Amino acid sequence: MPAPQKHVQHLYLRAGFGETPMVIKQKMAYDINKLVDDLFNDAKQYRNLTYLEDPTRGKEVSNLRVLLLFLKSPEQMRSLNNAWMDMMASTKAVLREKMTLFWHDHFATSTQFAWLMQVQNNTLRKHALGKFDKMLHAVAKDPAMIIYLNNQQNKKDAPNENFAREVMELFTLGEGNVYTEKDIKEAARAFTGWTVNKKGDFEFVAKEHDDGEKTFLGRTGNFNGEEIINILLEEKGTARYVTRKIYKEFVNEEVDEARVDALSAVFFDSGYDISKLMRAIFTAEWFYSEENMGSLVASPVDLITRFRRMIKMEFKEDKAQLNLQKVLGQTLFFPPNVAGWPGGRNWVDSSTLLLRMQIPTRIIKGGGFDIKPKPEFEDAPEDEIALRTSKKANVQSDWSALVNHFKKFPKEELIPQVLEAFIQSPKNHIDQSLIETYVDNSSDEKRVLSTIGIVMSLPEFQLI
Amino acid sequence: MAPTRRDFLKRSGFATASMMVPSFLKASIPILPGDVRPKVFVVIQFTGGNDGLNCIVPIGNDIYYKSRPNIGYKKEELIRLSDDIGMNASLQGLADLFYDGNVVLINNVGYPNPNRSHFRSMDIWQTASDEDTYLQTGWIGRLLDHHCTTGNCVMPHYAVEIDDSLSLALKGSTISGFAVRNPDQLKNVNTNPFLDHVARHYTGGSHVHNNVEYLHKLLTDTTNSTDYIFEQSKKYTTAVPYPANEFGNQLKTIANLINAETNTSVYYVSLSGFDTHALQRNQQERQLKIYADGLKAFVTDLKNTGKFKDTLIMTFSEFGRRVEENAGKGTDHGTANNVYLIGGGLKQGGMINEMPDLSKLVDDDLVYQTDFRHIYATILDKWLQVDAKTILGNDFKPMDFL
Repeated sequence: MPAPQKHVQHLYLRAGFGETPMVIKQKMAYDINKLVDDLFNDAKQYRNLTYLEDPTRGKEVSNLRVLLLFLKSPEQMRSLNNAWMDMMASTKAVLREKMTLFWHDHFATSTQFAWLMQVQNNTLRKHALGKFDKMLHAVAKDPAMIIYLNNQQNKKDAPNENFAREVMELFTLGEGNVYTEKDIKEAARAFTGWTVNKKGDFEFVAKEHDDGEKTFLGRTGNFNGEEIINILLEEKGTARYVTRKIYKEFVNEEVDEARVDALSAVFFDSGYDISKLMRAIFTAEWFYSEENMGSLVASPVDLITRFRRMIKMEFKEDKAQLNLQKVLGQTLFFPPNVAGWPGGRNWVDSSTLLLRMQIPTRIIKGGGFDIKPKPEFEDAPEDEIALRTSKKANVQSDWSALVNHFKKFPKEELIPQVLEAFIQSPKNHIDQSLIETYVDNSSDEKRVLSTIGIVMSLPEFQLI
Repeated sequence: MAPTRRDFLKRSGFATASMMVPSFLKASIPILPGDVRPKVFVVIQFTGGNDGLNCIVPIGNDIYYKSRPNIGYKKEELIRLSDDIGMNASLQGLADLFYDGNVVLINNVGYPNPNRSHFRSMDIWQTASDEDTYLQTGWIGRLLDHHCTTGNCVMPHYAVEIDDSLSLALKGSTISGFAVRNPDQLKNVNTNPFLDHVARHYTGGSHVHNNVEYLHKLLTDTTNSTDYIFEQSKKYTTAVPYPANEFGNQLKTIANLINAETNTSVYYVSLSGFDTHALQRNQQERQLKIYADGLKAFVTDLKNTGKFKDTLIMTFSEFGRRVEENAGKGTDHGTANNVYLIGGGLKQGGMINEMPDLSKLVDDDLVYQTDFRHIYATILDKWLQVDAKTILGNDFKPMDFL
């Protein structure tokens, strides 16, 4: 059965970053289940981020070298950020990138070591649609995570609880669920000796490891870190916590708890198969209900990527794309803290909403963005002055394909067609005659372009 | 030609901004009993971790000079506050206000288990959270939320940050503050007349999606705040000269708004450049001078118009710095720090606690004595007239400076 336009758009906005009306039109010939299959198949053909080469070349480095890596890092982080943004804007494996973005938020990490961040990003990408248990084990041994959550300092004689706490509070069970402060202390002992060596790789240092008896979640044994993680995975609460978070991110922030119960059973019974869970969501009838379509506030990365895919928006400088992310409140590789981005309505406030709504008209007018992000903590005053006086962040874009697509419709169908293509929430309150008053009728071209610009400026365009 | 935004104002019966003001007053900030008008609170954030130990200096302390052979200040380089306490000479403007009794200095301010990451420690200060708790709202943002839950919902411009984007401190869960770098730019903000119309005429429709309602309400509030702040910024222009730098301009913007009796309770502004890991003296002195000179002009301005008695200014940084200087003639990230409170409504100016004890360090860092949330609680309870516990979650006993 051919899929309705709105459903196809919904699927590609949630499982990807949106597609052009031209692509949507082609997809509408197929059944939703077939489109979901295609998304999973396309997700197999992915590329890793390869922007940086291993600076250690697999050899041990001296501290000086580490210092040099560190000093070069701000530019490298900027380039890595852009490399990932470019990947999301150009890849066919949209579902894999969308999931990688989700896990980047779930396992939020921020270090100054660009190379290690690239390694972690590729680890998340590898497991993004695989098994959650494998991913959790990999993340626990991920060098950037170990550095970020101080497991370098977690030693037999002086345990550091940071990783043990967050693995339960944020990565598996959720805050205050089942575990106690005592469980955190015991788990921390099990992770002692998990560290990063001078090659930048995970290393288990046996002499720093506490191999004594531990009591964790009611069980007693000489547990090591892997065993602690396995115990956490045996808890159904882990499946439910992760499923609920996925539901809020991919379906609706207002959670239907009964549905989450059912989905989390699918997730747990499949042995934490992420693809099974996502497929269950994307093929469910309720996923395409009116209450779910157009209900989520697009994240800044969703929004920027949607524009990039829709009108081939390109930034003339790396810094411009980074600044736009900063000002909108989501910079890849720089989550605010280990809890990740708050998301949802937190994405918009008075200044970011106005900026978001002005993006299309500013691009059309070729004005670019005169935006000034807050200075970095480390900036010297000279850097700040340079930042504040930097030129407008100019962008290039190509609207011709979109304009040609909508030019084919009769004049009276133009506004309804553009609304249908770009607004997913209910449209009954949108006054079409009002839109008409503001359309530039000086030429066919301008009529279509200005209609698109106006519709993309509606607050409802921020909802996907 | 499409109608302009001002045409809309006229046509839509929205009338001129001056006619709008009374309804705003009615709809937003409650005038409290006994208050002629609400008090104003100004936050000045030092970003990067200001070295408080080189701002308020223990003259004649051997450990200080031994720890800082290159960057320590000698007695004769400092402004004398007392026999054994000196102030960095770049803070002359602050010292002048101190002598006038308009400054309270609090030493050793921090929180338990200090975090030495800029990001995390700044979040802790801005959200007023515990060290191991992650809050998504700022303490000023929760103040806005609180007014809404008590039936006195305020507009975003209740709390104004002078910047292009909003700090976490001003983000609430139902309403956030308003960011503006330069009110002159506000007149061009809604360049799309269609949007302007949408902002003013949304009547609601879909009840399927709460987020549709949310975005429209936010847009309408934002448009109203934008109009209001723009009109207010035109009402008063100061004659007091301010230093010709960005921070000076930001303080001038705030003073003009205060002097125009703008219905804003909290202003927020940041000065960065305090992460002095190398060659600290020059860099810190330059930033301190920008701060103190701007502050002096700001206070003079408010004194001239009689507004200073209703204004309280707080200056803080996310952490202080290590006591011992590093090999690069700078300092690394530390812990406890000093906080300055400046205002015409302080009980009594002066330094209200002991200087840091350099002989009792933990991990080479100063030990905090006053949790910063006691300062917040004092300001909430005694200045902004709000029950601090509802904002901070826990009981933090108010202090005595107000």
